[in-house]
Amino acid sequence: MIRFEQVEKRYASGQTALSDLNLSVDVGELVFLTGPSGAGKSTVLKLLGLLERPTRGRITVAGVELGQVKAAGIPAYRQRIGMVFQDHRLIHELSNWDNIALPLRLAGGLRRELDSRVQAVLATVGLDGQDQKRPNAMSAGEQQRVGIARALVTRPDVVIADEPTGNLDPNRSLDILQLFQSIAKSGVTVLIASHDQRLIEQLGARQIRLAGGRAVGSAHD
Amino acid sequence: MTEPLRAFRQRPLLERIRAWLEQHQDAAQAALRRLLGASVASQLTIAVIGIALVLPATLQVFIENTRQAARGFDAALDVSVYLKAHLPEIQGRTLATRIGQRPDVQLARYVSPDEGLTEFRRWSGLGSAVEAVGRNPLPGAIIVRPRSASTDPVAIDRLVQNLGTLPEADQVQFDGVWVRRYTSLVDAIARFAEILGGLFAVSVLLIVGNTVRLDVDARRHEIEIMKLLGASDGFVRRPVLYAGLWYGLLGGVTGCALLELLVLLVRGPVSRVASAYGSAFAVTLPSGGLILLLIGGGAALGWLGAWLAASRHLREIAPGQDD
Repeated sequence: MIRFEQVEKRYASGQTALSDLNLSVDVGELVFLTGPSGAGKSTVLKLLGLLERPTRGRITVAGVELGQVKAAGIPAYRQRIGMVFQDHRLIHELSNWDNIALPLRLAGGLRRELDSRVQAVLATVGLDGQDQKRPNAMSAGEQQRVGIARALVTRPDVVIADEPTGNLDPNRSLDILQLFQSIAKSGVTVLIASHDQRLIEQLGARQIRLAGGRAVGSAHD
Repeated sequence: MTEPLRAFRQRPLLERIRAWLEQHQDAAQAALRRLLGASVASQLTIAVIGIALVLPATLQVFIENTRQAARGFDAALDVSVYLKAHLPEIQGRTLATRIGQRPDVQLARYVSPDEGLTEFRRWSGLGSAVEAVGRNPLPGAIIVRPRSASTDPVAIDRLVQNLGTLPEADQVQFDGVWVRRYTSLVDAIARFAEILGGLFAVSVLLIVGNTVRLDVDARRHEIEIMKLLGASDGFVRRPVLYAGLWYGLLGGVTGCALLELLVLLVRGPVSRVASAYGSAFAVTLPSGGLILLLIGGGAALGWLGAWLAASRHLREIAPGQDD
């Protein structure tokens, strides 16, 4: 589902973020990218979200070779993947309902089609009945659930998450990671950048360790 | 492709058009809600746009009214052809008919010496002096009203010259020079109003453009999120363009209200001045066309200003992630 083949990323500043990176994540798999700061975790996610282009190599996501996606095709590609962020990236002027419905609206959903999908995904993340609240009236953990609901509402093949538990206490972090685990079990490929080794080991999911922009190990804890 | 996206993209054309229209409706409503719920700054912007539009519009109303007043000067644009003394009346009437058939003449009326004398007595107040002369000293005359009198001074000059070459004509007199000066002055003011209108249109573009740029900067975070989620440039631009359109439209409505108020304020005093000169002239309210132009033009300028300011600015906003 996700494949990196000899990917190199060098920034304009001259810094090499990734070099000769090879990795592969299968359909319905939950995989953690781990490693110290600067290891290249976020760069991998940026490349997957087409926020950056690789200097060299080939990246394939859900059958799409990202090198073939032109600038005009980036919005349509991004609509196909779900993204979750450490700081949630919710629009605080909008209700939870509007935040979650946004990807459907971007994709051209009709108003009458949105509500059932939004309510279903709110139930999936355990926030039934919270659709009219604003994100800033909710706890950090609940905001992250809204972020996850937004990532899932289009039923993407792939969800990528950048430190989704970075702002949460350990109990809530485990809840969120278990939520990702259940999402993966439903057939969605989930790739999470995280440094929370203890929680990852608790979940027993596969992890790819990065260091200096290379994969230095892959383990199934 | 995911199931919902496939369903959205493979549906019939009419459904896709409906989804597109719904997106427009949502963007327009959101932009209006944001503008009406915003700070005093937005309302001040609308007021400034209204004032910028009302200044050239006021000049336009002034020009429309002065042109209307000038329509009452048609009689002053008549050309008088004084015929040679002792020219038989029948020849004078025949000549008047011939002149009246010219394409550049609206009408030609023969005035016999007796009719001329009666008019002279009535208007000059010198009836007793004429009695003293003992005979009618006035020749027959033909009063000619040019067809393009108020608009084409060159045509009038040509007509006066032609009439002067007639063997029956003794003297040709045109008293409308001051009217021509008046209409020329009005034309000059009209040109000035057009230039002023252009300048104020540019100022509306700049006002809306600047306001929209500030709006975009204030919403940068929201726009970045939308782009991260797959919003196209068109989707992101849409509410911004509607914001510009609302600014211009509401500015146009404000301008119309101000214009009506101005006209109502000056109407009474102008009517009193006109009646002091024996005229029934009254200032007319702005025409429907001008009101439509103010509102429609304001909306169009607002949309264009937003488009010019925001298109590049929005493209420059790229979503990023912290490393």
